[in-house]
Amino acid sequence: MARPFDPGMLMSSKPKQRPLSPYMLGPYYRFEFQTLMSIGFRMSGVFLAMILAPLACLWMLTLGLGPEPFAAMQAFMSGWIGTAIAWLAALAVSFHLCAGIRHLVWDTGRFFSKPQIQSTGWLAIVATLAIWALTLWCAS
Amino acid sequence: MLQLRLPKNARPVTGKTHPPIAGASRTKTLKIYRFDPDSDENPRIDSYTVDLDTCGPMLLDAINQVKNEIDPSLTYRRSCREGICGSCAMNVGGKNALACTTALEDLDDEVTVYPLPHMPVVKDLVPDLSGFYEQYAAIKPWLRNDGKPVEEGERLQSHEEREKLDGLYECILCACCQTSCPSYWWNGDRYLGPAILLQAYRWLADSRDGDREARLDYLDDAYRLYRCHTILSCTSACPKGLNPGLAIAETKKMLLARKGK
Repeated sequence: MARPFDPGMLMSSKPKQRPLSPYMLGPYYRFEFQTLMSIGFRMSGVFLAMILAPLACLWMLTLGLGPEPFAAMQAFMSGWIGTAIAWLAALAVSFHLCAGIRHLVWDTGRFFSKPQIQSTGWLAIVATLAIWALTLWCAS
Repeated sequence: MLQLRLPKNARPVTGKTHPPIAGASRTKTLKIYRFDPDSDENPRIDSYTVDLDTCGPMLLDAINQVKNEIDPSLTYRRSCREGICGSCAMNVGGKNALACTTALEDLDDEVTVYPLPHMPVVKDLVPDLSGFYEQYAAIKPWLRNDGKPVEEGERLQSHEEREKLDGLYECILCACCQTSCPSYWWNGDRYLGPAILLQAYRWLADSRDGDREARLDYLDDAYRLYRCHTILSCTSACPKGLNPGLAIAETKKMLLARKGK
């Protein structure tokens, strides 16, 4: 019976580790609009889950611990770091909401053509900025 | 696994700059990825200047000119030179494309030519696609039926049923979409990737196929199918203008509809 083909047979005595071809970081793969939208969607989700959610829990916790810890938390959140986090959180919530709706619509099999991928992306960005501006206006 | 940097043995270094062809007036510079498996050196980026006046209109013509007139050691795959074999898929200026359907006039004066991203490199622009072909074999890409002939004649298909294969059967398995997909970069060992999933849907959509349930069973997996996060780099990369992202969404819909029954 013929021996099954083994590409290793063609190689010299020691098979070499093949290098991985370049990707992503560096000049290797050009970032495109849809990639950036996807990364933004992920990053906003990570931010909300890892920073905003624990912070909100902490805030609630200080409420239970008594007036002094709560006052300290209030002072921190109205300081410049707290305000910056709140602004970013408003942006992250708006973007995650709009990009999430875009993904839900895709799950129905619609808006998949290349121009529609672009236009729905820009629509999500415009809607994000509108919701963000509205939130900031209501807060001020 | 999420891995952002290239392993040490894979980081390209600056290579040779070859002098332009004598007497060339209109030129373009190709920065080509070179890897020699017979040496212990890292991959390098060599620079070649081609003469547009003596060269055909496409990038593949320019690469042929490099091989024929400047450096015969350059290694790459090519065959049909008309976008139907899928051999000359490579990363051009940071985007996957077929060299033979990429017009030189659409490229910058200095353009990078690398192998398809995140694949083991055999030599220069030749990636090892055996894992990709194994994944293709895994979906059993042929008409599957119970083996019994139909009552009379052939398994007929209406015009409407045939139209469902448009945009699917044209896939040439060049792996441009597959290797543009970040999910495939991080999970290529378990995730089937856009090209294979488009092919899988091509058989799901075929009215003559009789094994839809088993095909769906195979795909209903957290990695094989559901590692697709609808990034849609695949749809952007396809040199044939097909839409793997849509095919994957339709597959997910089929699975959902089946669960609802």
